Amino acid sequence: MKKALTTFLFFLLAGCAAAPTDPADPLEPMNRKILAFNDAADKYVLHPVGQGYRAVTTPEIRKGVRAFTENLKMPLSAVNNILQLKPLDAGKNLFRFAVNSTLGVFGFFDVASRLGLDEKKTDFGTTLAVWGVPDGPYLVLPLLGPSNVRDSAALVGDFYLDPVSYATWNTSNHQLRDDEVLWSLYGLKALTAYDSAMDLLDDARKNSLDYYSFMRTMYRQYRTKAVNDAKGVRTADRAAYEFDMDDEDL
Amino acid sequence: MKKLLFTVFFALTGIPAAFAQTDDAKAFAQKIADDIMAQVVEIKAPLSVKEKNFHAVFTQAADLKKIARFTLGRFAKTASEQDLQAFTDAFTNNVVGTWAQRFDSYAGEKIVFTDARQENGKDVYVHSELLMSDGTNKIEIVWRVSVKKGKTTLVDLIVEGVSMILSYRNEYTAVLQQNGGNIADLTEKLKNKSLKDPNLNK
Repeated sequence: MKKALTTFLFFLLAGCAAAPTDPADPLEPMNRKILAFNDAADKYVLHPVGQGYRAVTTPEIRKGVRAFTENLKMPLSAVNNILQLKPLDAGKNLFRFAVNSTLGVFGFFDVASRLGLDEKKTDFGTTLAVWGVPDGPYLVLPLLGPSNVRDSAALVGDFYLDPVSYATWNTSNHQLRDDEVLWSLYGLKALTAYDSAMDLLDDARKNSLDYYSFMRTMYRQYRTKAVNDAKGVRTADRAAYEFDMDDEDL
Repeated sequence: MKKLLFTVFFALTGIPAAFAQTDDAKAFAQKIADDIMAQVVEIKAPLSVKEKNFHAVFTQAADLKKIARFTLGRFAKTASEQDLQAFTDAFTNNVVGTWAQRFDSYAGEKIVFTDARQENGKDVYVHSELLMSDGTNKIEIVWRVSVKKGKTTLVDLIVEGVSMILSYRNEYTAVLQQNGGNIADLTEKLKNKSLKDPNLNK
């Protein structure tokens, strides 16, 4: 732990002498520092935890736990589907939730997908984008990683929109800090999210020349697709991918 | 009569040519996917053989000179022919190396082609889905195929909305911005990446 702290301090003090690499990323110097912190946290804390999780579970158990946490995200997706004026998708997600929570034994088995019921996962950041809110500068969040100003603000929205938050809320005094169920759920969600991302992150770190700008472009493109999907536009149909190969101007 | 009208309409608008192009592009992408599956993913062979096979399929299908140039962005304009050639080689080896390694860990995935569409008479986008072996996940892969002057080449892969060539360009131009536009230095970095033992920094 001491080593992690020292590493973190070293990175902060060393600062970032690198020149900015993208005019649309004004927060780059700060972002790079947070990424360095995340990297240290990853190396000394998250990675060992992720590996420990894999050591004590089988792939089948992990698949079940992931299905369980994914299932609990369906009500929130449904709320956002409605906010995006897509009642059909909301219906699909709610039906998935109903099927998996019952036939799928509290969501541990993804029966709905096997029945051909595709999930229409979405979030409040996407809802804001559909409403026309611009994404704002790129932002790296401590521990959570790549984001932007809009999507970061939307995390708060998602917390308050999530029916699961209310279902697990300590109803006697309406105080979140007393509620162990809610926070255990968040812990489990974080663990499965990290477990799914661990290999991809390792791959990215290993194969990229500049991990920071690699993650930045990945996140931007990934979110553009999520927003286009929510707007009902096929990504490849859009100007985004109609860039001309012969035009070398950036 | 109706049929005749349709024939005239198609002949006038040139739609048959477009159909032929999308069909060609789809068959082209399908062939690449089949070759990769057979010669790289499913074959029981050491990584070095898979790498060699993938190198053959990839360099045959993709217009690497054009792609490499594109990934350098505006820096390509001022680059010397020699630098460009060295970069193109290093880039090719790097892409082949990383992807051969990724394919090596695949097992039981299937790729299903859905449809192909051409936008504004330009490149054809061939849509496909990679079905993961666990049976629940699927990954959308779009193949961007250029059909120009009778030559069909692969120019990009768009995986879940992420364009490979755009990603490489954003990363490489960031590196170039930091090193003062030194392409030789970028090439050197790429070579070092390729040489590194994949298990060293795990």
